[in-house]
Amino acid sequence: MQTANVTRKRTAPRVGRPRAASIAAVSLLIGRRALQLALLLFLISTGLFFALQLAGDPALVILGESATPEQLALVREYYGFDQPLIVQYFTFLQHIAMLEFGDSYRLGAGAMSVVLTALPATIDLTLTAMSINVIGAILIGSYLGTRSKTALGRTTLGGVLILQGIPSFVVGLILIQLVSVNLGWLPSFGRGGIDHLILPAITLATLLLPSTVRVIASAVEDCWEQPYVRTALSFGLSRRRIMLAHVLPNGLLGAIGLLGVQFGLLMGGSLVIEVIFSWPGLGMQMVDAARLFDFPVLQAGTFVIAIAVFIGTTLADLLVPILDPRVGKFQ
Amino acid sequence: MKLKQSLIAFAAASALVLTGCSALGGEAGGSTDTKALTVGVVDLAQSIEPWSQAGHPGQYMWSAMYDALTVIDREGKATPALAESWKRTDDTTWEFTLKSGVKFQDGTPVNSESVVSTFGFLLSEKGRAEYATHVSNYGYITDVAAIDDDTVQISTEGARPLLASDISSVFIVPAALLDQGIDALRANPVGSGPFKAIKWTTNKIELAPWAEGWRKPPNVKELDFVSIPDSAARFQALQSGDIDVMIGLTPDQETRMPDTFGAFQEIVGRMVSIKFIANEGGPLADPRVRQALNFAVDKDNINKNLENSRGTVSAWPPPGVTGNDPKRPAFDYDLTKAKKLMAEAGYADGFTFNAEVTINSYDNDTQVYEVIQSDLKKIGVNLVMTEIDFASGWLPKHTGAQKWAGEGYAAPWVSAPQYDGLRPVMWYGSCKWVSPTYCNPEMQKNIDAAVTELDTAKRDALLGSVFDAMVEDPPALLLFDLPQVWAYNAKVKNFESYSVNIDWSALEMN
Repeated sequence: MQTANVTRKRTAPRVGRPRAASIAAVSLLIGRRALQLALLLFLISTGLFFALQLAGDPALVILGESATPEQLALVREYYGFDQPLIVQYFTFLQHIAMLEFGDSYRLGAGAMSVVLTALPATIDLTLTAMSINVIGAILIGSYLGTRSKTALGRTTLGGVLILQGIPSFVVGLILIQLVSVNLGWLPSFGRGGIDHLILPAITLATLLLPSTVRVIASAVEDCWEQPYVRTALSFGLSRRRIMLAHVLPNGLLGAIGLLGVQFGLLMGGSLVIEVIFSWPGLGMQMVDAARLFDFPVLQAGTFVIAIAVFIGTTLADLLVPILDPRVGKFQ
Repeated sequence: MKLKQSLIAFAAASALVLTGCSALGGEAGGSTDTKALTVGVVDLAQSIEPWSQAGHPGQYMWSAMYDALTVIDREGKATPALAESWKRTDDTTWEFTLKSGVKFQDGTPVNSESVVSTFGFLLSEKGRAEYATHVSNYGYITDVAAIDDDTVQISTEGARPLLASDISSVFIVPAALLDQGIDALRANPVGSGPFKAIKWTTNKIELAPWAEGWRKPPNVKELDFVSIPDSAARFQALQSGDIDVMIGLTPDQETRMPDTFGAFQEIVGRMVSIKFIANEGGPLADPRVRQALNFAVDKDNINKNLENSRGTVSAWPPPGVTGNDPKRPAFDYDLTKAKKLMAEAGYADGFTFNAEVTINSYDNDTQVYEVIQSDLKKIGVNLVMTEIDFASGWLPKHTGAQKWAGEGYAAPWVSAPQYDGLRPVMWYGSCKWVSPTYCNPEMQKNIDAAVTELDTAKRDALLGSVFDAMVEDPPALLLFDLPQVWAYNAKVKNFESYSVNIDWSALEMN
């Protein structure tokens, strides 16, 4: 009895401690990230508010070159631009805290509503581009990881490096010229069926594909030289099976953190790609808002992008320790 | 195996995302219907209510859906639209008689009540603030009243000879709709124009022809405006057939355009220039120096080689703008004369001329400035240019909130929407502008007289004297008037656009 009790006492903490520790670690991570997000949003709002003040007098921008002092006074009073800057700032913070961004100067509608209306198009584009990025990188990276010294491997690597050096908007224009203008296969702009999505998604994916390919190729190459791979080969397992069952699961772990960061890059990259393809998403709205000094939409859009990037990186941070227990242990 | 399953699941999820997107639809570009016309523009109208900006780009879309009392024709004159005629009853009062039998797209009549209601809304405190740019063109109107069902009386503060032109962009909407508030108009836009709105999103506007309008019905089945901000992408969309008409064809694109395509140059009354700051002493205070600078720049050469000869080199104002006189001498390139004038003014060895410029204001502007720099060097003038931002630099300086840093600045002489030569002169050539950079007291007397002169012949004479004086005493290094260039594919015939209105009656589709 005594021995059994001792065993139970010893066993229970061994099982319970890691679970409790994991839950605590995840809660701590989320809590820490939420605080970081709150601080980030505060800093972004403050930075944005003062940056927009430097961008120009909004009353002047609204009125244009024929602005007279009387008209300026009227517009400043109507929109509250005549208040001291500090008063405008605290009013702005107060509204932001209540998620009130005001109305778009251009469209009259609520700024957040303008942004949220455009968001689904950007999510479509971003998720599709991310899918192309991941699938393409797994295929090319796996090949390069095992065949980098062959002629085709070197050519492929060269192609990847060249792609990394070409700005994504140039890739977009080349694709439009080849696929839409010369071949007439796909539409060159706008959002509609799946045919409208292909070119912008491929273009956006090329922004990330080279770096993902290189990370996966490097990880696969490392894994392929590990003793367990040699053991598996000696047991007569096929290279394909070893790759799918052993090498890729380990090799992809390193890429997950990168994908979280890439999510932010995709949101940023979509600004340019959406303009090239006239894709009616958040990027297009933000570029229009910046061009036409639509400050409320710029502020609301920046908020939404910051939150989306936060979600992407936090998910990646949560996923890595779950998939790779070694990371959890170190943390 | 787990990885394999995961990959399959991921691929399936990706496919779901893709197919899900296709179901969202509704904003696709281009059309397969031969009678559907898709127009690619840089920006769409800022709002569905037709007063949130003055002129380009909103007016292209709004003028398809709405009508004003008047419309500016290709000669820059106000002509009848909803108003059949108008007359001045005294110096400050005008009567506009409406066309009879004209209906809005909701079936209600276009009458004086709708005119009074629209003007009343725009001239209210809210209207003056929310549509400030638009209202600034006719903010001097003090009262709009209905005389009877078809007659409207408009009163102005002081004599205003350009009233009929100034109100050419005041698009009239039904009174009952406006009474319900602006949101009602946004939800259900109703005008009396040749097209009716079907769908309005932030990057595409879909319109259907309205056959019961007062004009000849348009020969298109559907009209779409799509926003493609990037110039290269817009041109590619035209080449691929995704759009039928594009705005903003660049000189380079024009040379690469297929032979079957057409191009149309729309006069927008925009003469690009480097404005002189002539009222602060220094070399530019002397009119001979300003003349010399104008003679020293080979504007024809720049226009031919950098703008594909699409500009019009002339004295101010250019053709298509009220006050133009083809006989008025422009500053033809004459280096000898320029050097002689510089020597007479005591600047034979030249001087340094600092100018603040904005970049990307028009096609190839950077190269244009470089050629000007090179030309001016030939008379010893060292042009030093500083790039400034339009919103944080140009606008505050132009409107007097900040001071210009040099002796000149880039200035577009835009005469739209009235197409009257005096409009930009009020900013760039008047002693009375909030931050004057040039002042010629004799010329100012004629400017003041022209602003309020109601007799057309006398006003024309006054304008002539102002613009003639500008040849002797130039306020700017005037370069050329640049048109808005449209391109269209082989499906489109008779595409014409003038005064920021597309001529839907002339347009034909194959």
